[in-house]
Amino acid sequence: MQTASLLTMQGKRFLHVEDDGDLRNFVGTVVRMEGGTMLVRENGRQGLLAIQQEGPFDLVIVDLGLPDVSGWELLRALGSLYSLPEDLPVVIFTASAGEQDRERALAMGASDYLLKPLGAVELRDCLRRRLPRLPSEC
Amino acid sequence: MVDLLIDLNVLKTIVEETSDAVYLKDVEGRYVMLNESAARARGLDPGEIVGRRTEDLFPDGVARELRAHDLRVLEEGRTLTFEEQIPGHDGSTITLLATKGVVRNSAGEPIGTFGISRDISELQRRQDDLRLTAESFRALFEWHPFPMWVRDIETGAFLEVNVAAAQHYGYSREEFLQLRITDIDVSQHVPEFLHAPSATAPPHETHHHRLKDGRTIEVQLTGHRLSFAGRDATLVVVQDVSERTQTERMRTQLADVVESTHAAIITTSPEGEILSWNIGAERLFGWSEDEACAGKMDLVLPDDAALPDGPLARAARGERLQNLPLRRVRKDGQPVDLIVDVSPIADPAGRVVALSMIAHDITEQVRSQEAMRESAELSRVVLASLKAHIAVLDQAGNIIAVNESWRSIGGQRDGNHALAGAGVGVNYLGMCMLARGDGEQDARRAGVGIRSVLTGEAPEFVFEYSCGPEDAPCWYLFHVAPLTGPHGGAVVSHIDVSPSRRAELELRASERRFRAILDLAPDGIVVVDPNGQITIASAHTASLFGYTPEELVGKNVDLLLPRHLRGRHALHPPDYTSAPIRRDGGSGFELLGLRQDGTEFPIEVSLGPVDTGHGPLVTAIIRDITERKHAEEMEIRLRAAEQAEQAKTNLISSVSHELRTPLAVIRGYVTTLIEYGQHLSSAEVREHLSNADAAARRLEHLVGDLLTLGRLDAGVLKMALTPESVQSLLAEAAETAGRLFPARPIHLSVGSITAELDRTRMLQVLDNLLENGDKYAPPGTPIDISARGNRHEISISVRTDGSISDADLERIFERFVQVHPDEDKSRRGAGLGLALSRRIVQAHGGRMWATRPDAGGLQINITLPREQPAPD
Repeated sequence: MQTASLLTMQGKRFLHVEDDGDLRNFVGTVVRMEGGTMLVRENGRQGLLAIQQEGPFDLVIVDLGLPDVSGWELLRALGSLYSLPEDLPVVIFTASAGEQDRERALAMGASDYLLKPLGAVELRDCLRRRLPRLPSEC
Repeated sequence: MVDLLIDLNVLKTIVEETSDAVYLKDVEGRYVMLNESAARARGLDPGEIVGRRTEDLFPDGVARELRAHDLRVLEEGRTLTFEEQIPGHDGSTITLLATKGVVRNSAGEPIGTFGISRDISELQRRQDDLRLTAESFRALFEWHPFPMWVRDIETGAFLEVNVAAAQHYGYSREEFLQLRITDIDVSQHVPEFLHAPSATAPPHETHHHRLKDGRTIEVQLTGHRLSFAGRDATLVVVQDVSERTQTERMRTQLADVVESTHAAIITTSPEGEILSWNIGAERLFGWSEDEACAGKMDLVLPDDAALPDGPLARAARGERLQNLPLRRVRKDGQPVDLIVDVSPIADPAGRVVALSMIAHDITEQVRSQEAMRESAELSRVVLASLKAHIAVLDQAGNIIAVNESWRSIGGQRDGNHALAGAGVGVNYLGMCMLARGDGEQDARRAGVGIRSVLTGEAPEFVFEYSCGPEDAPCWYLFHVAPLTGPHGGAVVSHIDVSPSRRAELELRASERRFRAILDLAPDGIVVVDPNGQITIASAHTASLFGYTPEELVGKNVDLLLPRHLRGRHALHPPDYTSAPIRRDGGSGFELLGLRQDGTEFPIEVSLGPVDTGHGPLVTAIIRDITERKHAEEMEIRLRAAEQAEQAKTNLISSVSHELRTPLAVIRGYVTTLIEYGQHLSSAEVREHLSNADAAARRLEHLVGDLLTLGRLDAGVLKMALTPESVQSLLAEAAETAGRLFPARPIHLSVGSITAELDRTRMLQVLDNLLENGDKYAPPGTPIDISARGNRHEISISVRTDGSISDADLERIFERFVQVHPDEDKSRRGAGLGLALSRRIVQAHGGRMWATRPDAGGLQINITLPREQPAPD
């Protein structure tokens, strides 16, 4: 925790794919407060477009229960574009509490699996921890 | 004088000494004179008969016939020969060959008739005996050279006809059997004897029969009564005499100028010199009296007749010789068969001065006897070729004839065979009755049977017996049939039936083996014929259905099936005989079986066709699948339970998901305020708090809906029913909607209807529908609400624009299902609205469903009963 708090989101680019506006607002506020830049998309298709056209991102946050293209498909698409989790940290933020879902998501290359509801501090620490470190920071 | 004496003696001797009956009757039929032979035939003295009439001496029918012959002779004025049958004084029938002629006074006027009759019964009898009537000789009937048929006495129908008859009359056998007697017999009447019960009918009745080609023939018929295939019948033997009759007619015309008896009367000296030669002799031999008297006796008697032991010498010594059979040659070289009586004629001193001879032409009889002998020979050949052992017994049970087959065994003096030692001359009846040792019971039984047939107690006798070693037994059919000739007797046959019997035993053994397999089979097996009748049922089948195998055989297979399946199930004949398909075990089909006690149980039936000699049969293998069905049901239940469990898990998972989302919003905002509140503007802080509050309200709403659904599911939530105006209910819902989403036009169409309902819950339903409508319909399109009612129910419908697939029409009522989710999740419900609404409508006793109206869009329909049924 001590180590994580030393890390900064300054200058980092985040993508959040989430269909719930309140939750986009919450995650976006935390990232903004930590100095990061947040791009939000409301569904899987737009999320995919953003990854191909607006990237690269330092970290992608994905909700699993999305309309149209689901978070699972988005995760699979990211896995085919990047070497997960080394090249791109993907954090799942979902209300699906099943243990199987967690294991499956991590096996597909997700860096972390965050279950809703979640407090702002836990979210911030997780994002900080999962951000790729610069060689100087190591 | 001597001549005259001789003449008188000749006449006296001829009349008195001949074995022929000689008599004179006046024109009224009164006997004027008769010899000993004639009287003996009636069992009387000549003195007792003279002066009496034919009618006084003979039964009516006979007397009429005899008298008719006399009258015919008188009428035609010539000598004729008849065959006459008269009853003997011992009750037997005597057949006479009678020569009758006219006696005239010196003026040539007829004063009476004379007759010379010869008893030819013996000859007749011999012919009768040769006529084979027993069933065993059926083949003889078939191939007999004379046309024959058998007619039913009662119906007159032809029962059987032989080859000769069919050929002679020009019909096929089948055609013949279809004929009626009147198709053939064109005589004025059908004679009584053809129907009469007498065993032998008078022969030589002349009939006119028509052939198929239209020609008419003259026939003489002989009838025999017999039992044929269980029917009283007459066997009729036909002799075509067309040609003979024509010849006879011609001869009769010639006879008009010849006066004579048919018998040749010749007198000779003791040395054989011919002294007199009557016209009969002239006609018989062809020589005139002058020619004959110049000749010697050897015209009549052979050369050796004059030898010391020859008839001539014996007659000269005073011996009377009768019925000497002779074959002589006529003047024209034709052979002629004769029976000759030779009687010595003595002078008053007793010296033999002359011999009288009476010769009868029996060429005809000999010829017919030869024909009979040929027929008998045929019979013998047929008999000999028959494998059956056949013997003819006389009335006393003595073997008088056997066939080759019988002879080959019966001739052996010893041996194990039942017939051993039973040669001709042995009393077979006694032999059977006195048999000892192996098979004595069978032998005695045979003896009793023979006796019953010989005495006429039984029309025939049949039984089967076995003999020989136990490991290789033989079977015989023992058959006794009566001989219908005047002497009685019987035909006994032993027919070897071993091959068919062995085959039968083999079949039985095979059937037993098959049945053992059948009964051991774990499945029930029935064999069904094309009519649906059970021909074989295994023990297991029977016990499966609660019957014994015997109870099932012969019953219709429908017996094993419930009433509603009868006649139209796969076991029903038309289904498999028309297209027999082998259905092997495992690929059978399932049916319900019906036990005897009326209970039904599941069965699996596999069918297989069986091609037998008795038409197509079907084997049905029946398996009781109660256990399997039970297991299947258990599995289905288990799977249902698993599915229910899975649904519950899914529901919990869905509930958890739906609860977590608003909680995440609340916690997210609140923790953000705690962590970063000092960095946020007061407007941002207010927005965060307000959003958290909205999420908290959604959560509250969701929890409320879940609770209501749970209580409805559990049946603990009761509708508070009151009579309500539907119009006011819909108006209130529309007003609320108008306030919440003013941009949405709402069209209301409702009359004055009332119904019993829970106003609050129904408002909840309507609010939900209108909210959904506003959420999913394209902006600006109206929501149409309408309601109408009849006596029993009211209908409410809410229609919106937009599109929905058929599959989704029902899915939208499932819990946590959202078909057109709002892009923004914060505005979206949890997918419980329609599920909850439907449960509320159902709690009212109504229905709720979705349709796609012709106008397009989506319409939610609700029906509610106007009056709620009284609570239980």
